[in-house]
Amino acid sequence: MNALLRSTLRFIDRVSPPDTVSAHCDIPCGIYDPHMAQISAQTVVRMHQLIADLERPGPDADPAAFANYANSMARYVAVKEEHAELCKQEVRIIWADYFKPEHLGDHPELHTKVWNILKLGSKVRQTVDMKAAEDLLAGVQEFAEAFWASKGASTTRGPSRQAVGGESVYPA
Amino acid sequence: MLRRLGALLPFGRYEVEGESMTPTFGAGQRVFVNRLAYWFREPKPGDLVVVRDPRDGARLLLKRIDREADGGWLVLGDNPAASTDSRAFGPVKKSLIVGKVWGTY
Repeated sequence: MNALLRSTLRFIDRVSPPDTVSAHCDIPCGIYDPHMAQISAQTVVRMHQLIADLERPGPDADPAAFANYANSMARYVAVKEEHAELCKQEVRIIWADYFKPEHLGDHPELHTKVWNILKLGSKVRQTVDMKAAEDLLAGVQEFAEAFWASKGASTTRGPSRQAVGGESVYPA
Repeated sequence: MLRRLGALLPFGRYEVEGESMTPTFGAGQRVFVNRLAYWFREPKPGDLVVVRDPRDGARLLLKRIDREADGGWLVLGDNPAASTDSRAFGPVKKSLIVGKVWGTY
């Protein structure tokens, strides 16, 4: 490009700055981790445990006991809602932004797995269903293993060391 | 106001942000774009283009035409490790191609 045109354009830029054209990814951080999804799924299981263990006041209980029962139940359900959605969101981001078509060679079942996770993430909100919550966690853990495998990292399953019990997937 | 008028001009001026076109273009470089380039002919593989992000029309992306596919054009970054492109969002319709890069300034 000749010098006159260059300096003309530079001058125009001073008067009216150029638009920005992006040459990077959504944020070029490249940082993804399924850990948050796993914690969210474990939280959903934990809320199911707390709901199951919550003692229902008998017919003769005083109003305060019933109010406390309703209060606890409402809080468990609210956290279950929030973490099921968070879990879906985290999985969706890794699936859409991190995974690329070339990963499907090694993980042909990826789309089905994600689809099941998203369905279960809705089911655990619509109902109180311990089986669905456990299936959600199992699905997210397999997803986490696929994620780390796609980066060439192996994973181990060990005790979660959380109130929920069970296992967690850890990158080795 | 100037920017509005600028949108009517047959050329556009853009400042590059990000690394997906490294080493062809680096961040901060300015490119001069011909908006009429594809009025009379089709893009061809290898052309450097500014396209609207099919997921967010307000966002402009600097990519290279790979090939025609499914009624649109596949666009890729020159630096695949740092690029979100047709591998993620599929082919880009011709109407979303803003123009062809003429040069840097």
